[in-house]
Amino acid sequence: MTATTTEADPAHAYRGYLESLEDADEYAAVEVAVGLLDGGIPAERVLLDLVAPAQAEVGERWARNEWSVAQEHAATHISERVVAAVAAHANPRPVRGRIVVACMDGEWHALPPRLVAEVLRLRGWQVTFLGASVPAAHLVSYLHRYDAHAVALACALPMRLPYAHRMIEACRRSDVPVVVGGRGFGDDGRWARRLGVAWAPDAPAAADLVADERALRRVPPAQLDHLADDEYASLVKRRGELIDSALADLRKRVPSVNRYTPAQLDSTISDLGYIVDFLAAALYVDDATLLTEFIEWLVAILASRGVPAGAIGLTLDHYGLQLRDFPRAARFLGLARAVVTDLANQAGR
Amino acid sequence: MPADTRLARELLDGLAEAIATTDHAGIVTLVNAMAVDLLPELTLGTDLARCAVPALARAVQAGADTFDAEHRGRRLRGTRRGLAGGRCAWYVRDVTEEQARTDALLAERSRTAFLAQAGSRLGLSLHRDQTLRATATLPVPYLADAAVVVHRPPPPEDEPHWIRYAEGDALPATGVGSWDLAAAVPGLADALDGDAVEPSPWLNAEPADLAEVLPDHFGRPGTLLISPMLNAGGPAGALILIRRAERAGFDQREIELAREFAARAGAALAAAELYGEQAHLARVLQNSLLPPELPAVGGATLAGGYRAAGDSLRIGGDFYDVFPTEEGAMFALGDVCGKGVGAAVLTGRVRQSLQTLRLVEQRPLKLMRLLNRALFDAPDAARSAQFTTLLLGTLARQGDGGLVVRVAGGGHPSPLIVRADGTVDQVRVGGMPIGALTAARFVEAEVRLAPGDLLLAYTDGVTEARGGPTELEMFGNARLRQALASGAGLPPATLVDRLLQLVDEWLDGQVHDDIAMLAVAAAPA
Repeated sequence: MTATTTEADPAHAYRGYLESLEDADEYAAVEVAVGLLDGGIPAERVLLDLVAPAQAEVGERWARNEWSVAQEHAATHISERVVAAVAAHANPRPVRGRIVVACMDGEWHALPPRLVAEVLRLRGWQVTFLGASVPAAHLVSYLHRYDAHAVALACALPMRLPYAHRMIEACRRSDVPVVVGGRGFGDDGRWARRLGVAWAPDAPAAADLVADERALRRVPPAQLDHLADDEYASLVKRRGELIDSALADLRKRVPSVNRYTPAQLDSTISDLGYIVDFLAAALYVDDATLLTEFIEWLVAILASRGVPAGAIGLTLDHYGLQLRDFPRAARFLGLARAVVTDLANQAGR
Repeated sequence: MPADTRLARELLDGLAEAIATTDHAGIVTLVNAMAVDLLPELTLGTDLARCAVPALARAVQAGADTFDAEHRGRRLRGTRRGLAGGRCAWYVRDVTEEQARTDALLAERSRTAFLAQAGSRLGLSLHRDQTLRATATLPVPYLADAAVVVHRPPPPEDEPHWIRYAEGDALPATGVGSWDLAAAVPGLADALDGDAVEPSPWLNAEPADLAEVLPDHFGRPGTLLISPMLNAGGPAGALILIRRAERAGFDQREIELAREFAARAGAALAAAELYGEQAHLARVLQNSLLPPELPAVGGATLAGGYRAAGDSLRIGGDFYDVFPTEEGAMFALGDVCGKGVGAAVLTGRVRQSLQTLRLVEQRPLKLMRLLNRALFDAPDAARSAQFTTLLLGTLARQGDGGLVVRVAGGGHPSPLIVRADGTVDQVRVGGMPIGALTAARFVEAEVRLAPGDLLLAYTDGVTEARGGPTELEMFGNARLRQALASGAGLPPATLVDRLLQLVDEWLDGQVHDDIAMLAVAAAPA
């Protein structure tokens, strides 16, 4: 504890904090954060300059296969405890209206919205954090029950965008303005604009936005005329059949698949499903980059785990063949295929 | 070109358009009969740039080719056309009727749009305060420069409350008024009693009367229109629309529109109040049936996870409970057959019985038997033919930081133990469901949890979750064990979250049965 007074700067404390996450040492991590608060650092800075970047690093380490899923979960758990400790320490008095913060249904990345919730709380709002994966019906009944000034929804995975849109519409029907955030809406919020919803790039921006009701309600309408071609709806209906046939195709072309353990098979099937889901979301917002960015990421993830990208290329080809009557889907898959080829060439060089 | 000037004159005078021509110096050289009617100010020799028709004179001075203005109570629209020799002609049409029709159409359109928007906003919310906010904000600026709703909150509040929105405000403001306010604002008391009041110009009422409900910057009000907001049981409040002195007063159509709006707002407020009462009732019942916040238990870390099949009330037939004891804690996790509210009610009965019976018996096996008899003896047990599967256990702290767990099973999936090294064992406790047979048999087992080990009790909603690529395959024991093995050493809350997430992803939005989990580990030293 003696070191904290000289280190009352999140940037200096960062390394030690990350080490305590690495050691899964909850007490040490909380000590670093509380030490900063005691050293006069505002709670908002501790959350945004210490906890948030460390959590981003945790995600990166998982992506690079340096950390296991269990390690990532343990670190996230500690971050949550740290956020709770910082919140308890600051304990601001609510003087403004109620904001409901929730993860979309099926969204489990609860820490970023939790940070937003705490920043809003620090700025005087009365915040209700509903946590991870909140079913739409639950959220709506909550909004009807309490007089919410606004609802902040988080979406970390772009493939959840169609669900996100339904959820946003459900909130609107309760006449509560919505602000969204999270990587799921694109790093520049372009898919939020497509869905016609106010978007905040980070917690302070979200706080500024909810304070301005007119800005919240003044949102250009959704641009989803392309859904009239029915490609999205048809793809969703064929999801199971597509995954089955893609797996059969892989078994034929990549014999080692037949020797996979049940767990390996499950994760292969998940990946096949993710590709369909990301394609569906890309069709929903009519933006091929949603799919191509995912494929880039997936290739990197698999490469870090020693899985060659070739299999992804085969699957994209297979889906492209199955969906040749869907002009937009076929075009998106073609672009994704080109990304795989480029990455393979780069790796070969 | 008629050579006959008389014929030309007759043709000109027969036109429905007024025509005036000028020479190169801008002096009027000819006016037809219609021009005499519409613009009597123009005579031969008038300098058009200085004529007594101001809009026309301005247009000539500015070199404009058109003008559009009210003149002598008529709406006139003129166009200039150049003629040979620097002369020119002005053609002026009387568009009074045409304009009136267009204005009426536009007014009707904006009125319809306003009512449509009001209808959809008012219909959206089921919350009283949101409805009030919509009522105060919607009429501004279309109907008024400021709107104030005076309303009676539900009992036990007695004083009238108000909510106000003025043009330019970011948010509506609220406050508590007094009955003096109702008395001071002319007509307000009547409207609060349900009578419609004619709009009144702001006569000599003291500005102080309304000062408490008007924003500081508003200035002196011009006209006031007070409308009652009625609901089924009588007046719900009153809507006061206020226009500034510069703005024209309310015309008959606007008064009707305001009345219609206030009536709709009153109905929306009534619906919100009714919903509020019922939601409160449902919430009180629901809270008694939701899984509890787990108490702190010395020497152990516990975490529960719960997901009900029906999502909006979040209650169902799965449950868990933890009661601290002297040695550690007692825990229960069970599954009542059926789902939804019916199952939740039986769940409540099982939990209450357990609460009471644990005071007389704390050994899991004996307590299970007692509970079986209690449920079987319940008056309508035979008729409802419902049974419950249950795990009932105790945790006892050990000197070395570990826990001894005794657990009895009543027809429930056996709990799993995740050792620190990733091995997963089953604690075999079969038994029969409780509440179904008087002679039901139950089984008890004892296990030891070293620090780093974890015991997971779960309901079949976890393993029987149907999903995956085919949407029909069960999540199954193998996936559960695999997930536990890869999460060895995680704290209970983290592991439970991870399992909920995996099952949720497996389900991918499909309907599912109730899901409950309870994880126990020795507390870290």
